[in-house]
Amino acid sequence: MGAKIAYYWNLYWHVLSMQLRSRMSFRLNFFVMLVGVFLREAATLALMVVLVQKFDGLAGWRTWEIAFLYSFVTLTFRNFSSFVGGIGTIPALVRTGEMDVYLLTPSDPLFLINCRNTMIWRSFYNIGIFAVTLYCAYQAGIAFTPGAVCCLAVLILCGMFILFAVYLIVYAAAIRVVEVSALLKILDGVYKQYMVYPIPIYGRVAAWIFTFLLPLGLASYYPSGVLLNRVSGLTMGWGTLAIAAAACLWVAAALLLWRASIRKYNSTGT
Amino acid sequence: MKQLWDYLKVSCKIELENQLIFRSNFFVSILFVIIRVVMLLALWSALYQGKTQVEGISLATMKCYTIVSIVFELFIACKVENSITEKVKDGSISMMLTRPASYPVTLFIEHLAGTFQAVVVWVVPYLLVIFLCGFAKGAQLYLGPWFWLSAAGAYLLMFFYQFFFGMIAFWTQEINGFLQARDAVMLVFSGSMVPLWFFPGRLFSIAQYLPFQAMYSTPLSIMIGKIAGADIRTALLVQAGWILGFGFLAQFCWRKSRRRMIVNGG
Amino acid sequence: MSTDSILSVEHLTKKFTIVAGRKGLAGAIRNLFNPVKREITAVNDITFSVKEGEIVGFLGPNGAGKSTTIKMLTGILTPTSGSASVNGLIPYQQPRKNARNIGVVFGQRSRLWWNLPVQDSFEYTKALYQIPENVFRENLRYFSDDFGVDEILTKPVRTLSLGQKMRAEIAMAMLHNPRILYLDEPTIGLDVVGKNELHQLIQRINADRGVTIVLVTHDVLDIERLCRRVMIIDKGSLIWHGEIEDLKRAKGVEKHYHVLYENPCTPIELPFLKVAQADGQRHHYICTEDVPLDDILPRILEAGRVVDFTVTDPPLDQVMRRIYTE
Repeated sequence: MGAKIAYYWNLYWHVLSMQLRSRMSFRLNFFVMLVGVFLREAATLALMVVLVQKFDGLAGWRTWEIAFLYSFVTLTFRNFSSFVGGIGTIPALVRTGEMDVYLLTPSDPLFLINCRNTMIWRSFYNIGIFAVTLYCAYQAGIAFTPGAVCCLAVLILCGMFILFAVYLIVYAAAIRVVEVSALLKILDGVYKQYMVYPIPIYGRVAAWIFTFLLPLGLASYYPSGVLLNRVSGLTMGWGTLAIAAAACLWVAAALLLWRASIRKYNSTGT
Repeated sequence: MKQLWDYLKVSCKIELENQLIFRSNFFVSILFVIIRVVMLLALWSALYQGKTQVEGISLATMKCYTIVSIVFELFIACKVENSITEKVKDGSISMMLTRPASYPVTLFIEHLAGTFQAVVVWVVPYLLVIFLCGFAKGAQLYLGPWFWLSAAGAYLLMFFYQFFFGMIAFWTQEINGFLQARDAVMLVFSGSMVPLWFFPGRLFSIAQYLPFQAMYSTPLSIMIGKIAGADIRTALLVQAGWILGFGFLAQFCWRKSRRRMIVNGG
Repeated sequence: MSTDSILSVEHLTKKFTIVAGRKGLAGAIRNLFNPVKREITAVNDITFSVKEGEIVGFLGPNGAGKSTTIKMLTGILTPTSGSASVNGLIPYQQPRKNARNIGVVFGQRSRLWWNLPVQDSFEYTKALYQIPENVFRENLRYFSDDFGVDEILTKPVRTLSLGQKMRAEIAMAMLHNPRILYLDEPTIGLDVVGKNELHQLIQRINADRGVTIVLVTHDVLDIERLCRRVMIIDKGSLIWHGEIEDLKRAKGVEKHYHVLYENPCTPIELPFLKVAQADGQRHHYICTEDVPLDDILPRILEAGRVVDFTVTDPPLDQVMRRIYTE
């Protein structure tokens, strides 16, 4: 077991360094992207804040609390795409038959796909958004006790893993259905545009769906709500634990589904 | 002329067929439009909780604006810029010179075909759902000639705008950062995310000087009556100004690009 | 199943279900709600075995099912029925374990990293297969000294010629000392010189290392140069299985000559030369007897100014037809 971990650890850093060297224009674009990404997200956040402020808050949440929710979602999504976003290439790999290459190595194919295709340097662009999230947390009245900071870190991680699980399930479906681009657009759109507001406003049915069926709420409303003490019956500590447990279950389910799908893989290459 | 008409008919057929090939994709896409409507309406209802009107707009009007804005986005969606940058990337842009019809014209026809597909495949089912579910109850919409003029203007403006930026891609391929910034600005200042009249003073003024509001906000505002009477004329004039501006820019860039292609051989 | 075969396959079958498109717009709409499904049999009941150290060839036209068979042998696809055993493992049930003992080279898909020097791809393979340092160095030396791989080690893959790339691919596939090497159309796109070099490389590594080689191709020349045993696959079935000598006999000594003249000219008349086509500038002659080129070429050159001249073997389907009727 230890040997396996050592193998993957070594492989991960090896591939990462090769990836960085492989991107030639990476250095030039870095600062442009850093500023660009931050400005874009800050602009949309500011606009949303302006709107909500005009309406004196939403669903009982004050403006800064909504701002915190919004930046939490943005941060989580960017974390997802910059640390494990490599799985996003799976539909293209299936379509071109390039997936074959990943199935011919001693390494786990999912690990290798993620390794080789995640643009991890993009995580640097998240620094600004992370700062904004902390600022909104402060303005929303979250006290930065050691416990709270711990919970915040865990919840940010959980959010990333929940997204990983949800998207992996869709990509696993891509292996059978091959064309899932519309479904992915829905996922992206719903998460980034609608999960940024408290899900009870969408009605009981929607709230149930996004809590249990398509757990995007676990990566947005519930973590934020738990930190802001707005979810009745859940203290920060227990809420964090519950969400972490749910995240583990969802990741396990996604991995199982992935394994089953890969076994049924039909290569469409020549 | 007949040639162009035939080309249009064939393009429309191809676009429709392409859309229907992936079955699950097609059904899911329709689902997405419905989801967007439902969620946006829920959002506005929640925002308006306990209020009758904000900035002179009532909830009913806002709901209307939302529905109409989504349809309008589908209608005005344009792939011209992507089409051009793709051709520039793989070099086939030089082939466009050898075609009998001029490239901008063929592009426009393809764009029309794409719009035709969007209308048949999205707009019609979408409107059906809207009316069947009674989302548009109590809506008072202005659908007179000024609106259609403005909508056509927005359509044309979008084409020229994308064609111009496509031509820029021909000259430099290092503008990725700039394009991202441009898209972010467009997102904010077009009025599609948040209607412009909710903007604070300074931002609202900035929005007036940008072309994006002429693409979305102007026709939609005319439709829900936010712009009425004499204001319509001013708004249309501003729109016309942008259309002419981008039209000239696009034409100018196309001439220069063509010359460069002829000289360099693609 | 013989006990000393490293690879054996029994009644291997693979079927796919595809959604067939319907013509026209109305068809596309109908297909939306009531799709027409078709089942195609890509591989149909194939049985064979390969001994360790052999070079075995799979010949067949495009779409015959060769690649599908190889995909099942390498563990990428699971057969619909039948079984395969490679190195004592069932490849599609333990693909990763199987991967440690096999090397795969695709003629049409590269495993090298495009932007980086060849050396980096090799180091990547070293980390991926956990190749011990001494084995890695030894293999690197072998391929550098004997096959000139050292010249290209520091060059980015995108700057290499096709021949150099294929050499690098094969070297990379051999770094972890696999017992079986699968080559899927390795000579595709190569010119005569490139093909020669690659044939020599393959022969050498088989002779020096005893690697079992499974070669998949639709080029008869590859088979003739390298393989002792040949299997011909067409439309998913194994239609012929035998030694290379039998194949050569079936192919016969027939040669086709294609000439392009600058100006139209009259066709050549020789007793052993059949005129298949001679309209104006393009001439196509077939020689069914074992006649050296010396006796034919002067006459071809006499007839007019030659722009292009090619000598080919008879087309594969013709050879196969002949084999079928034997």
